[in-house]
Amino acid sequence: MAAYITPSLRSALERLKHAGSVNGLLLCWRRQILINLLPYEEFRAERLLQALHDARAHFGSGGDRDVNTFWFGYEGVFVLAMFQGECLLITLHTHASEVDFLRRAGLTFLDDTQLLVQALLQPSPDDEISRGDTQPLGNLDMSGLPPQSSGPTKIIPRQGRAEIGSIH
Amino acid sequence: MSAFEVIPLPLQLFTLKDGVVASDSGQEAVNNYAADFQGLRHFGLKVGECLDLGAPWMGTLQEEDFTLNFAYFDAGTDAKDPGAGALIGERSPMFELLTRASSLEA
Repeated sequence: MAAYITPSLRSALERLKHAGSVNGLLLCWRRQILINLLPYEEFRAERLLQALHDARAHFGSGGDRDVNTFWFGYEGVFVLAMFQGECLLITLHTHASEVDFLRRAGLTFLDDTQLLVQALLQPSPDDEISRGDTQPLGNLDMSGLPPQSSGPTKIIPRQGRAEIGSIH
Repeated sequence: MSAFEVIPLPLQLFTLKDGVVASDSGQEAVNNYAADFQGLRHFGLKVGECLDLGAPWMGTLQEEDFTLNFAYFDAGTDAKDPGAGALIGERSPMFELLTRASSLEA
């Protein structure tokens, strides 16, 4: 899942990584990882994702609560988790005082990238067809002529051009 | 104010000592806070376990109209370490609420 990522979603997340004292980000959809920019192995990121979903389910089990943010502090690092819609964004940061700024930045990121996430989850069928029909340039036998895409290209022979030139 | 309008919970402060939660806000408030605190600390431990970070010294949860936290004093992380907590019936800035709970140490 994490291998096929649209560059713009990843670059948007990379930009967020440069906000404040952020040293890791994890973007998830439901219980799947979309992009892992944490300084941890994939299996640890998977466990983290499951633990946070379990935490949310625990507090929401009564039916009347919807916890959308968790923030935990450890020796030298903080973990901020924001749920929005079906997405979860986890941020690792080092300065406690930046948490409210990072929460707003994270929610803005989730708002602004809804279409990109949607495109990642449901690639357009048109894109797949056009990708399959595209012929690599290296396979074309052009015989010294430019490629004819939709119709014949009108080429003025050298001789003709020479004759036109001789009118003057 | 309409009859159905819910008055948001005011700021309530709690102390943690030897694994016991105490507050001036009444027994019901203490019971409710203790349940949330235990759940939050439990999942803080789980998250710390996932990333090999150890036990949390603080934790916060936030809903649309509710914020609750806990923080141990002096870098403590054990369940019996002294600490404090706070809750409020609004989406409060998390750092501000952490500062408020931590100020109970003084």
